[in-house]
Amino acid sequence: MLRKNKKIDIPEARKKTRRRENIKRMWHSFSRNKISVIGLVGVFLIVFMAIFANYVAPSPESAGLYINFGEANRPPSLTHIFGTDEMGRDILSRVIFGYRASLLLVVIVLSIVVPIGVTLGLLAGYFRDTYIETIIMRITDVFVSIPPLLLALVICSLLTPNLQNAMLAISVAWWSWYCRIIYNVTTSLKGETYVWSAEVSGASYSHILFKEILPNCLSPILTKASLDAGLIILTGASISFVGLGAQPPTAELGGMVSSGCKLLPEQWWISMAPSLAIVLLIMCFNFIGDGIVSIYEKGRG
Amino acid sequence: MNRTIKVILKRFVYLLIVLLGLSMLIFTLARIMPGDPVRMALGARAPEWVVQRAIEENHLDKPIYVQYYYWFKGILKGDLGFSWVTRRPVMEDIKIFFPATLELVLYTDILILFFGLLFGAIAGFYSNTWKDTLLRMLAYLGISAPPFIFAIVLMVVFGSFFKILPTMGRVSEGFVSPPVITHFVTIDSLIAGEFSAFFDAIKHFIIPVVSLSLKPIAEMARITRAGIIENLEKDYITAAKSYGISQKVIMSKYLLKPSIIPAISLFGLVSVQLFPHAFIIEGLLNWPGLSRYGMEGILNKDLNSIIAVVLVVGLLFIISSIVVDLITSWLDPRINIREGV
Repeated sequence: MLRKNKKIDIPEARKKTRRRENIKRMWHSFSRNKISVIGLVGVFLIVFMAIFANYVAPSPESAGLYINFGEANRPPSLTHIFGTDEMGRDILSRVIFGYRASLLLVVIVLSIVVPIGVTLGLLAGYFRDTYIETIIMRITDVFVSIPPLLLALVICSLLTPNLQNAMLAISVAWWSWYCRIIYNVTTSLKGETYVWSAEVSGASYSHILFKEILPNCLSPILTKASLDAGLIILTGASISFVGLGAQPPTAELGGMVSSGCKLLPEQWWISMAPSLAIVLLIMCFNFIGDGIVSIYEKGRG
Repeated sequence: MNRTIKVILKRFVYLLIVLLGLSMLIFTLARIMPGDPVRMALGARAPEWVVQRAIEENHLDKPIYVQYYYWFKGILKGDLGFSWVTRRPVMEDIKIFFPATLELVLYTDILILFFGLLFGAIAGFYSNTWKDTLLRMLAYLGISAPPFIFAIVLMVVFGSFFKILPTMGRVSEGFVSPPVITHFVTIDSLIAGEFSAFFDAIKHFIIPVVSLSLKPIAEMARITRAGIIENLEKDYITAAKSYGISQKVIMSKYLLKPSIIPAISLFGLVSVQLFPHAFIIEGLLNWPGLSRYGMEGILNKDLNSIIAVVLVVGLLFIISSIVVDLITSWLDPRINIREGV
C-alpha cells in the first residue's frame, strides 16, 4: 500500500509541473525579444553545419592542405558562393570548418573557466576574512588587472602555436572574472538565513557551498557566460589573426582573415568572407546573451 | 574627504602589491617557456663562447628566483633590462614607442566617451522609436565585430577604393617630422605651426581610431541606454515632469548624471582593454607604437620587452580603475570608493 502511495506522490508531481511552468515562463521572457529567437536559430544552424561539416560543405577536402591552382583566386560565383582562395580552395567550405574550431573553442574554454572560477569564488566568498580568501582573491586581483586578450597573447607566444594552446591561454586569462563575480555574490549571500540554518543543522561545507549558495549564483553565472561566448570567439579570432593560434593549413576563421589580408584589395573576398562569418557567429551569440539577460532581469518591462 | 584620501592611499599600496604579483607571474611565464631566446637573438652562427657570455651576463644560467632578484634590483634603478630585438635598453624603447600608442588611445577614448554617451542617450530617451531601433541594430554590429575586421574594411574602402585615407604609419613620407616636444605628432606639429603636417597626421589617425572605437562606442551606448531607461521610470523624474520642467532640463540636469554612472565604470575597463586591440591594429597598419613593439616582442619571444609592456598596461589598468572610482563617487556620493583593486 505504501509503495502505491509513493508512486502518486503529490509533492513530486507538483515539482514536475512547477519545473515545466518555470521553463515555460523562462521561454516566454526569452522569446519576447524576437532577436534572441533569431540568434538561437542562427546558433543552432551554425552548430549543425559545424558538426556535419563533412556532409554540408560543398568541398570538404578544402579544409586541409588541398591545392587546385586551376581554380585559384576565383571571385564569388554560383559554384563557389564565397569564391576561392589563393590555392583554389572553396572558401565557403573552409568557413564551415572554421566554425567547428570556433565553437570548440567556446565550449572548451567555458567548461574549463566556469567550474574553476565559480569554485574559487565560492570558497573565497564563504571563507571571508580567512587566509583562504586572502590567497584566492590576491591571485585573482593579479589576473584581473591585465586585459584578457593581452595575457592570452603573451601565453600563446610562449607556447607552440596551435588551437589547444590558444584554448589554454584564453582559459588562464579568463577564469578570474568568474571568481570575482561569484565572490561578490557569495559574500552577500553568506548572511542569509538559509545559509545560517544549514550551518546550524550541521551541514558539510560542500553541501552549503554547492547546494545552498551555488543555486542562487546561477543567474549571474549564466548571464556572464552567455555574454562571454561572443567575446571568447572574438579573442580566439584575434589570437589566430596574429598567427598565434591554429596554423595555416587548418581552416580557422581568424587565420583565414589574416592570410587573405596579404591579397587586399584585389582579392577582397578571401578575407571578407571569414570576417563576415566571425561577425555573424558573434552576433548570434550576443542575441542569445541578451535574451538570457532578460530572463533574469526581473521587473523590467 | 579624510576617508577618501585614506582609501586612495590604501589603493596605491594595493597597486604596488598587484604589480609585484603581475611581474612575478609574467616573469615566471616568460622564463619557463621552451626555446632559447639568447640563441634566437644572436643568430644561429654566433660562436658558442659569445652565447655563453651573454647567458652569464644576463644571469640566465641561475635559478629563476635569482633571476627575478636581479631583474627586480634593476627595476628599482629604473632599468627594465635589455631588448634583444631592438638592441636597446627596454626603458628607452618604451619612452620612444609609448607616446604614439598613448596618443592613439587618447583620441579613441575621446571618441568613445562622446559618441558612446550621445548615442546611448538618444536611444534611451527615444526608446522604442525608429531612432532607438536603428542605433540598437548598429550597436549589435559594433559589439560583434573584432576591431581588426573594421580596420580591414576601412582600409579596403577608404584606403584602396576611394584612395582618400593613408593606411600605413603615422605620418606621410613627404613631411619633415616636427621638433619633438610632447612626442604627440598632432600637438608637436601644431606647436611648430605646420598645419599641413597636422592635417596629414590627423588623416593617419582616422582608420586606427575609428576601428578601435566602434566596439567600445557600441558597448557604452548600450549601457547608457539601459541606465537612462531605468532612471526614466523613477519617481523623481515623474515629479520633475509634473512640476513642468522642460524636457531639456530634465534630460541634462536630472537624468544624465545618475544614468551614466555604469557607463563611466565601463569606460575605465574599456579604455585599457583598447591596448591589446591596439596591439593588433598597430601591427596591421604599421603604426610605430608600444603595442607594435610589444607584439614584436611577443612574436620574437623577447622576454624583457614582454614583461615591460605587460607591466605598463597593468599599471594603467589599475590607475584607471582608481580614477573611475573617484569619478563615480563624485557623480553619486552614495557610492563609496571600493577598498580593493
